[in-house]
Amino acid sequence: MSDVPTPSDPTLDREVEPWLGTFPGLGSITVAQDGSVEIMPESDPEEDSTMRERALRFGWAEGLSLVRRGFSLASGAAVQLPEPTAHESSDDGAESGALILTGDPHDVVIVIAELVERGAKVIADRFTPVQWEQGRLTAYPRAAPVLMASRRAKKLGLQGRKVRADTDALELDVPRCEQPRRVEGVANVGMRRPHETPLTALAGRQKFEAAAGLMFAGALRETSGDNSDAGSAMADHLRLANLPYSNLRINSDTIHEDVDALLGWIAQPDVAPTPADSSAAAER
Amino acid sequence: MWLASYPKSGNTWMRAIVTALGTHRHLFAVNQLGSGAQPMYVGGLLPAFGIDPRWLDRDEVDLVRNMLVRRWGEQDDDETSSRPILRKTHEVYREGAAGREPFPISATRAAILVVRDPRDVACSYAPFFGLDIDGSVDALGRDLPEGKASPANSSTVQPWGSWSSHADSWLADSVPFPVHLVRYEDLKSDAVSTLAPVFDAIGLECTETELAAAVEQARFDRLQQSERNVGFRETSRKTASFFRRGTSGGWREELTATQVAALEADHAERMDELGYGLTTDPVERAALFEVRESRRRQEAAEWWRLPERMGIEVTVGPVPEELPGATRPRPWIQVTPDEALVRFAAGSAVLVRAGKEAVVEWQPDPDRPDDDPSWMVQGWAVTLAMLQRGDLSLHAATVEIDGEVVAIAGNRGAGKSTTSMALRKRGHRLLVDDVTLIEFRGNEAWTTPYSRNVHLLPDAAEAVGLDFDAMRVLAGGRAKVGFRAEDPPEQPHRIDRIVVLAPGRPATEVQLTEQRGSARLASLMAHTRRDGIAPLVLGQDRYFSLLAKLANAAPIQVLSRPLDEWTLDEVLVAIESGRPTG
Repeated sequence: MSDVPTPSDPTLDREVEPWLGTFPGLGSITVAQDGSVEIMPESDPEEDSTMRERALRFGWAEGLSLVRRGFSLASGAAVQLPEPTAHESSDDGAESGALILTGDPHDVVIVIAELVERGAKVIADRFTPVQWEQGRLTAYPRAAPVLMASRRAKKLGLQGRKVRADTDALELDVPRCEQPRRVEGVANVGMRRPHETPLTALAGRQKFEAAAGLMFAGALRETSGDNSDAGSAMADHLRLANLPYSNLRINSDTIHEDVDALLGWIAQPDVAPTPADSSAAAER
Repeated sequence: MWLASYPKSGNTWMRAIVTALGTHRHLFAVNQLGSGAQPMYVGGLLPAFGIDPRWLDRDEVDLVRNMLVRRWGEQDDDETSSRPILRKTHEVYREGAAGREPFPISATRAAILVVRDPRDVACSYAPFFGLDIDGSVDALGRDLPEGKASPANSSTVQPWGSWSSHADSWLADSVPFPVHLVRYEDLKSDAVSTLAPVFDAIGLECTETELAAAVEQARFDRLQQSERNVGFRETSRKTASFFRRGTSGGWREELTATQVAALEADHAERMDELGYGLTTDPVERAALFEVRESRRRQEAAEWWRLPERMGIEVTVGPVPEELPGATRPRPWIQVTPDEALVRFAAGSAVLVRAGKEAVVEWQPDPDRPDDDPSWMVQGWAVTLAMLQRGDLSLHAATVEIDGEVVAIAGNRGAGKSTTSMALRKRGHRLLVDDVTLIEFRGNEAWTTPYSRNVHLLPDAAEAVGLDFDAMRVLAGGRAKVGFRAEDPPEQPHRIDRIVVLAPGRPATEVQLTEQRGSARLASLMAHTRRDGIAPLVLGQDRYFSLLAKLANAAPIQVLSRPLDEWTLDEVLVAIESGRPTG
């Protein structure tokens, strides 16, 4: 028999105040009702405690804190587009809006890297805090850095820093957008299979299905609140389905053309969020 | 409940049948097959706990995989008292560390292992992974190392081994839950009769009529048609169609005789056990397996790298033309007190410094990029470094014969490699070829073996039944090939006997003669001087002191053989017996 004790499971207790999460060997976190967090990394002689503190903060506490502060979390990264879209630029001095990128984070980060090359700024990696404001879905920035697998970074010629002592995840230096941005559309990113086209705009039922999977459930959703009944959940779903959706199928050899297609799609005048009912009752 | 299989062996088809069993026939869809989530992906941690696994390290990722799989088990128990949920996996079965078991027993009731004739798997594997058939044949034989988990991709390791080791792992007696074997070929011929007892055993209740309807629903041509109509979301990016042929025995038209021979060589034992008839000659198959294993070992090892424990850091780069003030025991060798430089005919060179640093200047032949340059490191760099450290090396192979460690020394061409390989073929353990490093413990000589190629001339390869032309040629225009045997044990071994091969001595038969007195010293000198470098680097006094010590450390026998009219077997028997005959 081994002398090494069997590790216990990570736990997240949302029945206590503050919420308490423990990850054996890594540390624990608390997340209070007002969203304030406390990070308690365990010490490990083989790893800088700053790395463990950041892992607990960005990998766990930040998401729960956003939930407690009333945000919904969209299951995808968000970037501020390089240029305002056609309907945005009709407003004088309009800032460009946000594009949410769903899909495997391993694939999404390729598109992020390409968009950054063209002047985009990252609002959030992996998941994005969002709120409805004046009938428009608005993406808020989060602090966690953009991560990429070292092999992929090397292939793309990107530099990064290891986030943990024993990992292949690198933190990339990318420009960040620090302000909330209205969401202009959602693209689901995947690697392109034979016979697939780079970009397909979704319509009808496809949009409805895509909207159904956009928001996180489970631990990354506050259980109490206005949206706990089926009626308001359906209303949320319908509002989300008003966004423009597309499937972006990429290939590392054609990433420039693929992202051209994405930007071409989102720039079309008729690709715009349909303003939803902006009554106060619909706002959070 | 695991549904395990090597890739392209019918796992998806099985999932289609099981999905069809639980789905109204009008709702069955190729893109909604159950059990598609594989256990190595731990992205589910984010919705379940709010943890983004990309911030975990490799151990933590393995830990949460175990936890998530146990949660599946609990969910499956809660939701399906009568209908077990099958979970797809292509991984080999392995136990794993405590708390990090990839297939936790507490969450597992049983497994179904689907196997398919590797000759058909190779045909299907190639287009799916974007390989040609030769690449696919090689991939099936390669027992890939586990690799590292990739937290950045939210994934743990997914080792699926070779075709044989995959099946071996799941069918081993040590697997702590029942494993039900299903052959793809039996599914093809009569799926209902094949599956009914298996489903009954795992508690997946259904009538024969229901099962027959599910099999009909999941008929291969229907799945193909569905994929043509709506695509298949699980297909590879490298292939136009996931559901390709779905045949058994198609390999007879698709594979060449060479490819069949390679597959049968790699997997003969397991194929035979699983009832896949072998078509090739057993002796040729065994020899081909040896050559293929050797190549795999060579490819898995970087040619310039030595085991860390040897303490020699090897780099590849330019070396100086001249060592100032060097002595030249041979025109191509330069030696100073701290450095030794050896230049080779084809333009490459090795520089060794202070017994711990080697620089290899490697000039590959552009017309022969596959040739193996490792001999410069495994032979010259090691020998020179050990001399610089003050240790002796014996120009000898070392073999463990029934527990006795025998060093077999000899001049170039004396037959050391042939003899050691032939002894290995007779079941003895080859510890090292050509370079036996000597360290003394009291009055005993010890050696610590290390992995290196055995160098074989065409007649030596033929003598041990290996195909010279199928092996990797040594780089630098050398007329030998390299054979890499299994890695030797790393612990030191006491040398119990030294046999010096002495062809050409007057002899009428194979003779083993015990050496006595000064003859002991003389018989070892030629095999320790290393082209005159040893006395230069060690100094004459130390060299002779070490030589004398070695001569007294173990019995020394000279094996003489006539110029003709002798057999390798006679030599081997003489060495094995150790009884002097002269």
